[in-house]
Amino acid sequence: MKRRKYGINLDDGVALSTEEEFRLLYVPCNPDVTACLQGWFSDDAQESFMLGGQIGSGKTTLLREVSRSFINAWIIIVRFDTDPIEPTEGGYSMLLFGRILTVCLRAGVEIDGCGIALSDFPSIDADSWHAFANKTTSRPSNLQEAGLLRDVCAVMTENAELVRRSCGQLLDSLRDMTSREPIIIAEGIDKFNPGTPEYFSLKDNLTFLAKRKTLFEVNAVHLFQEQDFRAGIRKLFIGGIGEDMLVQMLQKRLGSYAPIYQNAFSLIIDYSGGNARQALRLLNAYYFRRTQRQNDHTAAIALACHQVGKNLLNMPYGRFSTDIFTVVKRDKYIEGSLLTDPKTATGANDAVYHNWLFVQGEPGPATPTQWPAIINPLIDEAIEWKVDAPRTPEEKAIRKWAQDHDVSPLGLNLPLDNNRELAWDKFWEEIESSSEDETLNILGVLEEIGAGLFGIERQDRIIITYRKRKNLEAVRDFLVGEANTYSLFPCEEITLEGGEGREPVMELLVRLTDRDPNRIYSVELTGEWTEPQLRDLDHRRDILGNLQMLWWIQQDDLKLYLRFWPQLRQFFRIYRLEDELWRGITMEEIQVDIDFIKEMSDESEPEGVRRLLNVLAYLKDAEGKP
Amino acid sequence: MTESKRRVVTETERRAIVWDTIERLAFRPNPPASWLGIYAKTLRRLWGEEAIWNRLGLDHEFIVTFLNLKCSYFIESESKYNISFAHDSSDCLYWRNHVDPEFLSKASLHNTVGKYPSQQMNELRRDVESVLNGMLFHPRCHTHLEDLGIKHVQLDQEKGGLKLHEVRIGGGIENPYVFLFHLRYQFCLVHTDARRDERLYLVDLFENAIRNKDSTVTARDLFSFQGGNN
Repeated sequence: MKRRKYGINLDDGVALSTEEEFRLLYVPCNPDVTACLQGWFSDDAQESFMLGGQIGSGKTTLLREVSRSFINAWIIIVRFDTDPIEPTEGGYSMLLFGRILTVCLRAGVEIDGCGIALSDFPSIDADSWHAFANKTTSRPSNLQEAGLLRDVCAVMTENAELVRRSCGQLLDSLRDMTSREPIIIAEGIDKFNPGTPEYFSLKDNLTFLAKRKTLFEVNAVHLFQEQDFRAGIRKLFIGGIGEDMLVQMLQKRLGSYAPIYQNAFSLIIDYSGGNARQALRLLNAYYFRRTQRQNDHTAAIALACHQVGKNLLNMPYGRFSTDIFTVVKRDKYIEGSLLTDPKTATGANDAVYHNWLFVQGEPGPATPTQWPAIINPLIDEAIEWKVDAPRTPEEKAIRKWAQDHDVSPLGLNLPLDNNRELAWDKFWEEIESSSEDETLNILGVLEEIGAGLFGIERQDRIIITYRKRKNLEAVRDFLVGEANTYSLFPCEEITLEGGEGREPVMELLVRLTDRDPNRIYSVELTGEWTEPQLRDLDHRRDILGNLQMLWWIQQDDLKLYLRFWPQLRQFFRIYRLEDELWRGITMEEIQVDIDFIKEMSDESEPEGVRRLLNVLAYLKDAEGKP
Repeated sequence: MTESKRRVVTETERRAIVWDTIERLAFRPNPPASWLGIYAKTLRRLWGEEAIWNRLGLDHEFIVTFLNLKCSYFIESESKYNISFAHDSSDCLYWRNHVDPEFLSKASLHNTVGKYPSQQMNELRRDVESVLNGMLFHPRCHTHLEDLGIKHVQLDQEKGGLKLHEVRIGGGIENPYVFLFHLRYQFCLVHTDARRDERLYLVDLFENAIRNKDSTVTARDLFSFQGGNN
């Protein structure tokens, strides 16, 4: 992503990737883990290990920072989240084989005789191992090609053990040829919730890789599933980021403007719970409130907490074992056994996996089973804990503001039942319904998403929900047209229809083959998406990085989908259109914008003009109706 | 006229020609809609801030958020306008300026004739620099924000941020578009290099326009608004 050389660089917490981004924005939050990683890359004798952290803790950025220094090593990177053609054992095996094959071919390893022959996969029609490697590791360019690759997956599923043996043989040959132990980075394991069938399909490949020199990028919950990898496997944990480092992170994001907003740092950091992405999203929301909406500091903090809590944390109530919260609140740690004991594992894993709880660090030597933990402050702050420590005057002011304005999660009181016990179910109901009245008209949406829509210094992913579909095309044309008054932004429209027998995720992959950061992708989700399709989309979250996207989802559908998207929701902000959404828009203003684009553009029929003419026609039509 | 009889144009006369030429080339937009439209869309880009939704017309306002400053203006013509600065939320008025062409000023009595002397083109760059300094970058008559009672803020100087004292609100600027354009530069405190880059860009732009005898400098070029990949 192109960044501003001077000034402010905000986003919703996407991993850093380019040289420019590391130079401008990287903060070495975890020097010990970094040193361990560097040592591991350099030392052939070191075995596989797991790099674990919760969603948004900075794993991917850290991995990229370290691996940048080892570009000449024979590193095999396998992205199990984004790159498999399908989420089956065969899909994962094909990707693994293809990635190992690619590096072996580059190193000049003899492939024939590895246990797999090209003739085993007639459907792929590859006349050489190079062609085979290319086809099995590239995104298909059309659905027909995807179908042929799935035929290969089916063969690989039936012969998965044989494929893994061949992978082992190739890795041995690579080691002999290069005189170095091949390094494998298994990325994206963190996107798989341990309870899902896709994770189950992945397990045998993980066990195979654990016997090699593999680095597994995992979620904190996977650290408690070591039997899926290798008994006694080494684990590195990225916990909560310290206050000093978070201050540096916020300062770098704000550039020379940092002193202007520094009075918000301590609260943003408190409410982030030490999670990098949560801190960055809070900063982004706070900055928007201060600059575009001119909210004062107190209101901006409360509304930022509300927005981030709503987008990241809103889950159907009752899915979590709320006893765990009470215990963690009291003890300030979580017993590791809670995450493995069959009676408590599901609830505890969900709470950690969805960032309702933040595990702050590894257990100390004196208490080796107790993982320091806190309730996510955006939830914790919502609860009027009777035994809580006194709040600071500033916290009190923010809480009061939130209560006065019916803003949650800040400002809710925890309801008690008839026995004066905590009524968690009611609490979840309140949290879930707290944003029901928040709807925006079209100008409100435009203001909210403008920072991403109007420039190339950031690309945001936005979900717009609606109650009735009636005029979505006009809304889309308005947003795209207005973006084109700032710069030239062509729009690609994609409709993904879910349901049995359909392939919406593959359709998306095909359409994103030529990714263009200067394009606006408008994606409408229709049909009845199945749970596997929703989870598949969730795992592939990272293919959406650095793209400007507008997603359109009916609001009742979105409620159903969100529980399958703990990862995907991390990349999106969600807004809801009100029914009277054209309030405040006049045809005269649209005409001014049309004239403006015409004057600015060298093209005869600029896209922005076409889009806004559609809007004008729609408004004229609507005005003519009684 | 023979070479020996040609009168040498003085430095002051050359710079008066350059001043008038720059105003004519870039600061008399007709119609003004696209000039103001691009102004609105590029204002925060120069300041290194996130883009926000912003439309500006002849009677509008914009906010300099990091200063909590609301700037309201009303342009009646190329020589008649008023402008004010107020606190962005309290509406506490700091300063208001009216420019009324029905009354004389020394500048309004001044009228340049002729074109930039072609035989002195080697002086053109220095002349453009000097004129832009007085017109936009450091107006001769100016007020500092702290003199208006605006709360002091300080950007991070270690990251290149400038002092508030570097904002100079020009007095006696009779053209509203020059006034708005100079605010754009003056409120750019994000980094010394951002100001330097902008100065160099404008000097190059106007030097080339005068050298090439252009009839206009478009708003697109003035604001470096490419319409794509901005």
